Amino acid sequence: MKIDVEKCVRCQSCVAYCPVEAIKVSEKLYIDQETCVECGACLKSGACKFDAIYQPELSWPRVLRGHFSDPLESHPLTRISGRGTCEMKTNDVTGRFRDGEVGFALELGRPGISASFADLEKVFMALAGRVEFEPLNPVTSLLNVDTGRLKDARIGGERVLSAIIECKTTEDRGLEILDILKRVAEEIDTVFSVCVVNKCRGYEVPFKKTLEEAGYTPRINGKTNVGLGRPFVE
Amino acid sequence: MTHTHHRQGSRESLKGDYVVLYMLDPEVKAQRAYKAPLKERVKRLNEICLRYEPVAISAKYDEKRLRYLKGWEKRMDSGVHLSSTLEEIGRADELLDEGLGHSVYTNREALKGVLKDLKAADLGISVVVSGVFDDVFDVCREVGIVPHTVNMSLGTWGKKELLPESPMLEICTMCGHAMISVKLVESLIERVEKGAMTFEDAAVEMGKQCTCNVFNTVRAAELIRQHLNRKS
Repeated sequence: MKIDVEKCVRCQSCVAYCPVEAIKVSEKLYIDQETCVECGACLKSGACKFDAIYQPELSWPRVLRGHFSDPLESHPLTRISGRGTCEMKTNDVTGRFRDGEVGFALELGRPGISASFADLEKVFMALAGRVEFEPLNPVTSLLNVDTGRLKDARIGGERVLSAIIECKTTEDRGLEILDILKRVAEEIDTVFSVCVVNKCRGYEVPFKKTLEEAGYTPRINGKTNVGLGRPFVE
Repeated sequence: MTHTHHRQGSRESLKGDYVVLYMLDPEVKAQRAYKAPLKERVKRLNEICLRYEPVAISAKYDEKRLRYLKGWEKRMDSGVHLSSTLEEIGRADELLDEGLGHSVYTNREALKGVLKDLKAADLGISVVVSGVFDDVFDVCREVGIVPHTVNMSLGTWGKKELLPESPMLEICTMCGHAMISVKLVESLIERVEKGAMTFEDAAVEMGKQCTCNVFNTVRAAELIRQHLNRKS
């Protein structure tokens, strides 16, 4: 996003709307291009009454910022808006996560901190070779699933509001993956939220017990796919 | 998307916050073709979701994204954020982005009504509820639904010192895509404190930025009220 200095009257109405504080106030208002994640929140808000905020055409690799940060954009790979992932929301019709498996969705940059692809690469590398990455995921498409390295090193410096790494393993290896995540959490320059996906057995959640026995405390709230999708996958 | 997942807050506060998400998987064509025509099923889904007084609901009609938030009046429209009425949502027969929609409720009984009716309607659309697990599972038992898969949160890891404080964190995490800036929440709370804005209008201005429309304005107004009470 950019500000047309000819139109801007420096009223600063837009400043508070930026989730990553990229709108800087000096002699002229400007958007710090390194910090801006191209989410478009400033423009969408309508805070500027003088049409001074505009979206320039983005080229590779900066275009990735918009794909990942603007929830109204559908990601080209998955055709899904938001962050471009389905994860367990349609597991009742896809069977993506089966009995005895545990899935992880690691959203880097959330909530509201933002993340670079260099951070994503660190986490991806730590997991590579130890998990099965979700193929229909925008992050997976940009990294080498064997080495964990970015396929195009130029994107390492790009920042996004958040991006989700999705992977799965078997229940017996779930705690090992969490140990790896604990270590890599200390090496990155942002935050990530940790989602743990598990298929129910009746009204029981098998991996929840494993987590609790290992000293983890899952939050009291989360998401439940209630199994109304059809055709149903057992 | 994990955007309705990591909503933060106390048990008491979260008990007034249930998001119902409905989705068609882009890869499963048979789900789109299940039983009745899709438009007919989506219309029925919207009718059911509207029956139980949602505080937020989104839909699509005639290529237009429709958003209803409790308390959002036309005078508050700005930028791309345009309000819709519940009547307009009732006419909708399409899901957003070719397969997605949400509605938000403030109590367990409403959730129970929605799930009971959706089960009876057998629309074939996947339904995910974000909320306190104990309550969601109890409701499932009461209406005869067996949960299929859960997504648990182990919270936030990494540089947690970067996270905002309460109540900004609770309010901002009601938009999982982080479109509501901490600075905006702070400045709106300040305006409420000065008497320049109502709790409810401040909550709507915050919620408008959440383009997926999963923000709970009732809960947000209450969080602001509690915060200012504590301060005074």
